[in-house]
Order: sequence, then C-alpha cells, then structure tokens
Amino acid sequence: MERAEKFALICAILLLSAGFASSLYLKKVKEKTEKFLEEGYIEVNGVNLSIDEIFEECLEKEISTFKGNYTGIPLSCIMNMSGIENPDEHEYTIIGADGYSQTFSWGDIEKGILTRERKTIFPHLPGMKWVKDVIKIEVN
Amino acid sequence: MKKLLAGTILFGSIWGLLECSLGDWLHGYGLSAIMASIAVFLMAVTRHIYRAPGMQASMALIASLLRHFNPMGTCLVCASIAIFIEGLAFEIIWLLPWRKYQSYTMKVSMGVISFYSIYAIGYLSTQILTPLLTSKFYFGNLIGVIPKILAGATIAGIIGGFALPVTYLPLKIKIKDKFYYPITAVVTLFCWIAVILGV
Repeated sequence: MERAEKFALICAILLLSAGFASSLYLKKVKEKTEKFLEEGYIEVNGVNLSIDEIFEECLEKEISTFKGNYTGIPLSCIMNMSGIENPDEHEYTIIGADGYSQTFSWGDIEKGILTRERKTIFPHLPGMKWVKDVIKIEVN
Repeated sequence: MKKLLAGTILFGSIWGLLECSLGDWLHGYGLSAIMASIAVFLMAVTRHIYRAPGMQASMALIASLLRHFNPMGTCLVCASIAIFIEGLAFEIIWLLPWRKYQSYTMKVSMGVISFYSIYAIGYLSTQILTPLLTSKFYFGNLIGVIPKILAGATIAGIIGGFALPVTYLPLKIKIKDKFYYPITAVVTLFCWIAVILGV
C-alpha cells in the first residue's frame, strides 16, 4: 500500500470514528432526556412546567405555515408563566431532547407556538429553526 | 462541447428534480444524508463518464436553480446555495490527485471521505446561511448541531464507501447523437415541468 493510500484510509477511518462517536453522544443525550420527556415537563428559565399545566393555562391557537397548519400554545404565554420580567430584553434558547438548540429574539418568540408533540413552530422562519421534542428553554 | 453542455443540463435537472421530490420526503424522515449521497453519486458517475472538470459545479448550479423554483421553507436561496456549495466541494475534492491510484482501498477511502465531507459541508452551510439570511446567526447553535451533522455524515460516508467503487466499474454506454439529444431534451423538459408544477 502506498503512502497516499494509507493517508486516505486513515482519514476515512478518523472521519467515520468522529461520526460514530457523535452518534453515541446523541444517543446518550437522548437517554438522559428521555425521562424528562416521559414525565411531560419542560424546563423554562429554571422552572419545571408540565405540558398539561401549560395547555390548561394558555389558549391554543392555529397558525398556517409553509408545511401546513399547526395548533399549539403561544410561546410568549409559556414565557409569561415562568415569570420572566421584561421579556423583550432577553434572547431565548430552545433545546430539544437530542441536544439541538436554536436561539430566538422576543419578536420571534411572540410569533411561535409549542404543539402538543413538543415541537416549536415559527411560521415566519425556516424549518431548521423549528425544534422538536423541546425539553428546555433558556433565557439569556 | 455540445454533448457536455446537454449532459450538464440533463443531469443537473435530474438532480434538481430529485432534491425537490425525493429530497423533501427524505428530509421529513431525517434522512437527508441519503439525498446528499445520491447527489454525490450522480456527480461521481458523470465525472467518470464525461471526464470534464467544472461539469459538476455547473450541474449543481442547475439543480440549485430548480430548487429555487420549489423552495423548502421560508428561505428561498438557502437550499439553492447549499446545493451549489456541494457541487463546489465535489470539484475541490476531485482536484486532488487521488484518482491515479486504482486500488480499491483508495476508492473506498475516497468514497467515505468525499461523501462524508460533501454532506457535512452542505449541511454546515445551511446552518450558517439560513440564520444569516432569515434572522440572526448564533455561534452556539452551530456548535450544538455539529454532533448531528457528523452523525448524519457517517451514513453518507458509509454509502460513499460502497458507491464510489461502483462508479468506476467498467460500463460502456453508447448512444447515437440522433437519440442522445432528443432524449436529453425530453428528460430535461420533464424535470423542469415536474418541479415548476410542484410534483
């Protein structure tokens, strides 16, 4: 085997190893958050709110997006439930069970909803900004 | 030259149609790595047949143009730019002198490297461009998505390890000019009509 071939082989093995390590990491993250998902809680600014509690407290609304219509609770209502002061002065990081996270301004939060399936929907933003299996909302 | 141009438009259109139909469907199931692998396979096959550097970037340009007619989401140019970046990444990898080594080790290794990195580069570019063009870019969000990108790229890499040696199998297809151009025109037209009508 020539040097270039060995180099290519090592690079390929390294890349695949990084990929497998990432898959394992994602699996571990999911295992850790599974209990939280099963219990039906979302941590908002350090406060644990149950999904049932949120859906009892806030009024559901329907929004139309490029992927169809969705029904859920306005995210702004959830933020108000957690007792955040001056909400427009903060940024909000929504974190999913697989560790995927997206950060939003208050303007975006006001337009977004949380569905029963724990998915955030933002009609004015692309799909990559939507987070599924939401377990945590951090206020920055 | 005429044949190359027709081939570029044809395969770029097929790629664009696949992105708009199969790509959307696979994306819904979190299997974007499969679509990226199909795209890289298409580029590798056409490079092997036509042996023309630059053809794949041009194909990507045509596919991205088609994607623009059938955008996924609220960002019109994001997916288009990502497809074009995939084409450019392919051209850069194919500039490296690895093809002078004919061994299976090299083909499998480069299959893994190219499919893996082209998928990762395409995904990464959407994660940077989409927020930049639609809202605001947060570096923390990009760091958070890297394990997901690498995990997805592993699927693309494994597919590449099998797919790239396949593109080098001795296969000769000869089509006469009197059939080549009409077939090219009809298939291209079909792809464009299908995308524009939103099939």
